[in-house]
Amino acid sequence: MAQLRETKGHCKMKMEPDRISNLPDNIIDQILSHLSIRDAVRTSLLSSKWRYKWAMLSCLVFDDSSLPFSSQKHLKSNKFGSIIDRVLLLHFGPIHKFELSQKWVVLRDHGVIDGWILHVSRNSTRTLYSMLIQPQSIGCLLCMLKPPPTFKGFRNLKSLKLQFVNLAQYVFENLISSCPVLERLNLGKLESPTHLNINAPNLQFFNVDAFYLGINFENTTRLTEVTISFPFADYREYPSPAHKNSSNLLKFFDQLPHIRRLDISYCFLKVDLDELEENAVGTKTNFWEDDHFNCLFTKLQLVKIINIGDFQPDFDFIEFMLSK
Amino acid sequence: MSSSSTTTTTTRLLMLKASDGVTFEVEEAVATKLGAINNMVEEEGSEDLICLPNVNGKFLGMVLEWCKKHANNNTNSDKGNDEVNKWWDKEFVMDLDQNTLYHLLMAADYLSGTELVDLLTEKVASMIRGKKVEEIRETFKIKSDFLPGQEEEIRKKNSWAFE
Repeated sequence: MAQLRETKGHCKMKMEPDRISNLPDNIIDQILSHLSIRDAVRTSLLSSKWRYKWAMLSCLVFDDSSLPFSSQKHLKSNKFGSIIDRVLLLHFGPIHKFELSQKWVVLRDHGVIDGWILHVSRNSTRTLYSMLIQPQSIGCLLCMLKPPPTFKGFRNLKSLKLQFVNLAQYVFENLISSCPVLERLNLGKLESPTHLNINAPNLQFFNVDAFYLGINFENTTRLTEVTISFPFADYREYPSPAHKNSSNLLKFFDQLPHIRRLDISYCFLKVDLDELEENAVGTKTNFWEDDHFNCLFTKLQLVKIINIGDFQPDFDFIEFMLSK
Repeated sequence: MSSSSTTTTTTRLLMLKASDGVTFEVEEAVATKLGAINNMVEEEGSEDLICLPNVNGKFLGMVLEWCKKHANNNTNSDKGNDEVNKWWDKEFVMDLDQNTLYHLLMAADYLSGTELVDLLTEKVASMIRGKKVEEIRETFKIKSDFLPGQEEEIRKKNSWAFE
């Protein structure tokens, strides 16, 4: 009996040490998500249990930390692109998050990035189970985006961040409107689009930190948080905004009935309000006293305005805001 | 311990019973930091005793200790509290042995303690990050069961990650 217990105990001792390999898949996935792609791929060599764990990683983040060695040399040899190709080729299962950031992306070959985007979008609609689990977040930096006609959009994408992306105005608009459940949109500098026309029925958070000639919301009645910060340097590149449409601002706020937090910095107000006052309403009357605005901002709780100009329209606007 | 302003509202106490019969009396606000308990409270409403057959008392105690700290720190919503939480989280995971880490992870996952799972998986990740395969095997006592040559083959397939 004593002997039996001892051998049992011995067996247990032998089994016990490797705890981590026996964790459930969802936890392993989370552990790997905390790692860079490079570290995650390296776990494939631990044991046969680990061999394909990384390949089911639901978050694919290709950023600077994914490659610790000197990037210059490899950027030339197109290495980044081939690594992403490699990872996508070996990866299987749903992708919840796909991120490419800054130094990673090869600029010369436009087709490459489109291929990745298409691959990720297909991954979400092709297989049966991925109908439920699909990409929820995608970030692209420094790349040219020109999806092929077969591109069906991201039916489950909830969060989108685009910065330094080169895409045509219509591509941008199509991309946004083909993400029907999009909740968060974060935009930096984009090549080509001069106006942001955003049609996103589920959008709740909108952030833009580059200069655009106009921002139009359509069908964005669920939007609750808006942050607009144009860098001053950007604004100075466009000294005469003569082509601005004075109805922009009116329409802009009209599409935000549920707005709760509004952050506006730099010149957005000054430019638009100057235009508005002079063109649409006349310089003497206070634009904000118009009846049209009485129904606006009823849910607004926090307004932050920084670096405003020394202009009457700004104060009128603030006065109006405070009255709400 | 908790701030005086919140104690005026009556805090409901829940009884949590672990697999080994150990019971814990915890404030509802603390226990509901765990998604699974929150769901049970919302669904069953009046039930004050919650049995958790998959968690042993030792680890349930640790999970609840973590919840309590976070619930207390969150009552006064200062920015400094983030720092306090972070500092406390660091202490919490610092000296965990692998067996405890494993059981805590299983318990936190079972109880849907999302934030705690995140903290613990990051702890495991920190033990892997930047290390060589041999070092990771050593840390976690993982035995390679690859056939001769197989390892080389895998290494070649993803040579970029092993450079």
